[in-house]
Amino acid sequence: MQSKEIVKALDKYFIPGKGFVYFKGCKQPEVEATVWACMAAILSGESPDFLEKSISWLKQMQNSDGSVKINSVCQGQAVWAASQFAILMNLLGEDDHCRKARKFILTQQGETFAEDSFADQDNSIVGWSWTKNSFSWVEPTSWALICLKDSEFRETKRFKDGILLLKNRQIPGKGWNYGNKNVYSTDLIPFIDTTALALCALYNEVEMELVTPVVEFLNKDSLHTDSLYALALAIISLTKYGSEVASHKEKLLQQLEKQPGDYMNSLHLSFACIALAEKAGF
Amino acid sequence: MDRRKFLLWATSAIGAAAVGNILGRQYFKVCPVRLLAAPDYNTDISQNILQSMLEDGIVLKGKKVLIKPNFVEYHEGRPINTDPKLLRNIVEACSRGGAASITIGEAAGHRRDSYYSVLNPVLRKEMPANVRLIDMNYGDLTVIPNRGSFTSLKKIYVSSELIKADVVINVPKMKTHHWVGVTLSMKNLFGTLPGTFYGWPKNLLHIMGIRNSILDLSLSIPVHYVIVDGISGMEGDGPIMGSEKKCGVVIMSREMLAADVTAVEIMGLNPEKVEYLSVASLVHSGFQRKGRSFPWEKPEKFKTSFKCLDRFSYMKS
Repeated sequence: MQSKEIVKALDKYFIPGKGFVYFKGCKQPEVEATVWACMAAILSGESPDFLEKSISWLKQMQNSDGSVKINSVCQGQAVWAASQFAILMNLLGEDDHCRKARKFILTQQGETFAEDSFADQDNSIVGWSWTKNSFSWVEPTSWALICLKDSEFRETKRFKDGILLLKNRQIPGKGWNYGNKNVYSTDLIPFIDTTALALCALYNEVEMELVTPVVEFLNKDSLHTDSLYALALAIISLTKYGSEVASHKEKLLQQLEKQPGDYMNSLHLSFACIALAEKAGF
Repeated sequence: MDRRKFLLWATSAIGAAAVGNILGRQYFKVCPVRLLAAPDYNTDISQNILQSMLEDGIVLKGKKVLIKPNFVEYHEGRPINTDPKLLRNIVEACSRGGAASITIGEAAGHRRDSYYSVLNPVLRKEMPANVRLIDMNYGDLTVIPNRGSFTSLKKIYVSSELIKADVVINVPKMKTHHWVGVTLSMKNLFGTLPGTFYGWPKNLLHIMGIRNSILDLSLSIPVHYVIVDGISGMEGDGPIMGSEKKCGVVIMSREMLAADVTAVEIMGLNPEKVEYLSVASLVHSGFQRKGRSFPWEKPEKFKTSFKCLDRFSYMKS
């Protein structure tokens, strides 16, 4: 399955006039699924019918304060959706939408806590949370950094603190999981997808000596997974760092053929398509 | 919040909703808890499971069944998840009982990638093709009222799959838990909430207090039957990093609290020392021993001793 076919397959997840759902049969279009389906279509060079309508629907999902709803059911709770939205708007040159979202992201910060004896980490570093009024985690912080990278906000303290948070949460010698590296003196297990994403966020932001072992870890570990999503994110990340990804791409294509269609998450299809493109768009 | 503060707070915080719940229930009804010996996962216990559900008045014929396992994170060889073979037995029991459709749904707390959770091939290959596997972290949401008052949440977003089901079967793994002591059917309800709304982890619930959130979810989310996977559990640093502990038992009940308390006793822990279970006794049936009956095997037959982290050693007293 090549990019063109993936975009065609994605069309089956499109709710006419609106956006994309994660799974076939769902009825509520989602911002995340729509952002990445659009990104996949744009990077594949395709111009499917859904593109214009989806982008228009996405813009409607932005609130006046720049925040972005995750779907039409939930109000602007999710901080991370604004980051993903801004990444797409930046690619599209939609400066007003992008800037509003970025400004909103800068107003959001994860809660801090006193040190505790259970988790070996610095709870005072401010990153980004999944939802308002909660703690900072690796993935929403990574998305926020990726969306702010390409802007004047890169020089802000918030941006630098976000980098610090990722560095603090790295599992020694390996990568990242959701955001606790060590609990009760036990190192936890890194995840391929989160590691790939954090590496994207840290690209060009930290000394190479810090990330090189992680890139090597990701390169090796990701070849052992059959997860489409993990493989796709690993390819995107490894490509940024100049690693050879031919074997990863080959495996990705094999997995695309094997996936049971009815259980496929559109998000995973979109990332597979983005991974096959020359550049990731973020 | 430490244990003492939590208990003091909980006693004062059980507001009108919870009191209404208490008054609305027959509080001294006896909850049957059926214990089934199962030395390993290769024994066919599907007929026993069906029998248990039928004896407990569960109607399966023509119903849409949602099975909610604990399939939080797959790592080969680690006893983290409800075993796929037990789930296969439950699926067969439901099929034999005439279920119209069967879905297995999970919304894992840490894993964004469904491949490492409910869409892992390990589970898929064990299931008949007509059984749907869904990651409830994604997909349509339904808003339900919070019927408890332990957190300040007014409403709860749940996967619509949960609401569409006629029969919800909660199938936790018997495990220790490094934040709340144990994770069983009540804690397993975290996995019905979508990550797209709550995040990975569902940190809003942590901020509200994990124990409070467990209690609110247990009052708000419909569960019709509980089947605890105690064939092989996890002790020590659960729910992910602990070690395997064999118990050889499946615990079945209509009441979450009755099932969980029985599991805790079998784990060699004192239910009164598990704060959220202790407080749950004010709003759910089956906490006291005299409030439970054991028509099949008795808990003593399976009683063992789960290792706990030092901070939970008080649960052993």
